[in-house]
Amino acid sequence: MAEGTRDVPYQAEWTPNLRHRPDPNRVNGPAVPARTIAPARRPTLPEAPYPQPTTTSPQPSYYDLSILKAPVWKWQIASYFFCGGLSAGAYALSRMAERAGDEKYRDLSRMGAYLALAALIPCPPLLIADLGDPKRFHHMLRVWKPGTPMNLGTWSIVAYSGMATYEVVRQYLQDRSDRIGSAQRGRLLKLMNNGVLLAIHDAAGVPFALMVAGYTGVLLSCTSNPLWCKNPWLGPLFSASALSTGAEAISLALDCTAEGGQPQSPSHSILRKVDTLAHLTEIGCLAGFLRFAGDKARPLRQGSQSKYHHLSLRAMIAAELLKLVPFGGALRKPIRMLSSALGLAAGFALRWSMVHSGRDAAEDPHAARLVSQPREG
Amino acid sequence: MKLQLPIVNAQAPAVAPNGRLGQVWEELANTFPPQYTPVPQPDDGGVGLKQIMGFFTDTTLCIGCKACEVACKQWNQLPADGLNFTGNSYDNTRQLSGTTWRHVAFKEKLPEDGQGPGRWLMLSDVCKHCQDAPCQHSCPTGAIIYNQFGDVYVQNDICNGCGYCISACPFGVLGRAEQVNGQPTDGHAHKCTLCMDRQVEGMTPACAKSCPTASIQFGPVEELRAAARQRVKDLHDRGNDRAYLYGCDSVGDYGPLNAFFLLEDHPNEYNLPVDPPQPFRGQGLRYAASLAVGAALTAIAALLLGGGRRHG
Repeated sequence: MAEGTRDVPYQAEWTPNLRHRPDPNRVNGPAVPARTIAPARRPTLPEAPYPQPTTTSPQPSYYDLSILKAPVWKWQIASYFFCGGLSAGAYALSRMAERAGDEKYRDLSRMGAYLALAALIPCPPLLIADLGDPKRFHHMLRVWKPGTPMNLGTWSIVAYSGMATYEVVRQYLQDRSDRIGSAQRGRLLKLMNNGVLLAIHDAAGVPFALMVAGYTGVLLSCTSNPLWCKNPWLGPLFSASALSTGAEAISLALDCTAEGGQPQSPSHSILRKVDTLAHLTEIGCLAGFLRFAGDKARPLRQGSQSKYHHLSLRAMIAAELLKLVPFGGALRKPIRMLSSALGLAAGFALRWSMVHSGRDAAEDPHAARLVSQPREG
Repeated sequence: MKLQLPIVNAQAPAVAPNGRLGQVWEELANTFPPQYTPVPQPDDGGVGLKQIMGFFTDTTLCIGCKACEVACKQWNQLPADGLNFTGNSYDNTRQLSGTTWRHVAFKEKLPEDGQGPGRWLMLSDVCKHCQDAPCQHSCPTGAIIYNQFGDVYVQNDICNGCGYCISACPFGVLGRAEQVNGQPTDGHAHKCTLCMDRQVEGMTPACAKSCPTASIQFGPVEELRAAARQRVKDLHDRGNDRAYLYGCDSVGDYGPLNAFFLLEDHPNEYNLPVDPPQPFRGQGLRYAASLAVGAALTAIAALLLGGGRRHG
């Protein structure tokens, strides 16, 4: 340090003065019940006194700086959206295979249950890594605030992870049922297979899984970001993508393991149909999304993330086309695996481009102005 | 005695939903209506909601001295943002951020035909302390609350740095600095507290205290609104037809803002949104759409699987 300069304490660690002082006025906990106010109706806008911009005059702006702040979410959030969706999709399909299907779909329900938990395990570390202050991740769980998708989603994923774990334990015990040595294990399996318990488990578990699959889209739509703001297609898009990636992951895992060794398991044809249907829904939702966002989606279509956006679309189409080609014999399985892998890549690229181009959109001054332009109604 | 909370936009006419379907639609759209976190009451041990306090920033009086920006940084011990040269007139901080809670916008407006003198647009920008604030809605930890002065306040010991409020704010107020002066920060979102710590001592916020021209006025918002309307009337009488109030009555989806402005030009010239959206409106419908698509696809999967049982 140069002679004569003074060590400024706040340069070492920035601490706003409110941080370490106990605040006597802290409002903590539900001392007073939360009250609800009537949602405001859109007021009729008064005649603006300032000159309205015309097509010929330059757009009024402040040195062409964006009004909005860029979202702070990075690859962790995009990866979490993918893993959470995959897990929820695999779980829902696995439960349906056991509920609606019969013994020949046993491989599907088993693999789905294992995949659901396997994809869920990286989620908490990813979410915690994203926080600016990872020490305080548990603060999400100090309140029940369903009005914010992030809180509702956190509670959903907590509940869902319990269901997914239950399912994996049950599947594991069932797999080992012929070799179960101890009587306790047998009794545990019997208890877990109890019809009433299973019915409750499914009645809660599947809706929670669908919530985990779709809330991420609703979360993004509840921001002022030009790309996402109020877009009703985001939730359905992510829900459909969750189902398709779930189906692809199960199909790929079946092909990679011994059980899938038989070239044509009945599960495969079902997964293939579900996947195609989910992909069609996804394309429809994406079209709706782009139409709703209009010019505000330009950062997605033409920005730095456009390559991932286009990759997602192309991979999805390629995966579907591969299914249509009638390969036979030895080629059948590798082609099916390739199609699944392409579908998974499409799902990941979709989340990646959607999350990351939010940054481009917020930093685009034109898009930021568009989201707060006067609308009719 | 229970204090009545201000109802956002109470005067706005209610639109009758058309028919039964309309009612269902309305109910879905407002599944999660705007909600205030618990606001202290007068009988909660002396920290009750006294009066809603706010700022009125009159840009016609602003001389761009940046005393407010400096006073805010000093009182709140906010670090410097570095010595940057933007080339944007005298504005080198660009925008509000986690470390800049007052920001003076500078703009030299030259006449379009190049004839005659130009004029200055100067505005000391600040958190708008919206009633029905999206940052407060979005906060998943309940760190963002309305304090006893009716203003939006981030409790930093609760904030976990998720950054949702940063994306939710349509005015781009909140910020989460990754690094300041090459050092990592605490990772929390920060914004104007309306000097809550000064207010509990009965003091004026630092920016309003330091403003040499009374461009920033602090007080009970109802009084400020009356004063602001009078000010616009006076300016119109003196021949300044451009003066108008931004956020005094309503702006975009929002009711009156607790920090409002008197402007002389298009809001975008000051980097303010013309018609800011409230993104949490209609989230019930978006949930319904998302769950419906998921449920439909799952049901079709179940049908396909069940069909296999019958025929297989």
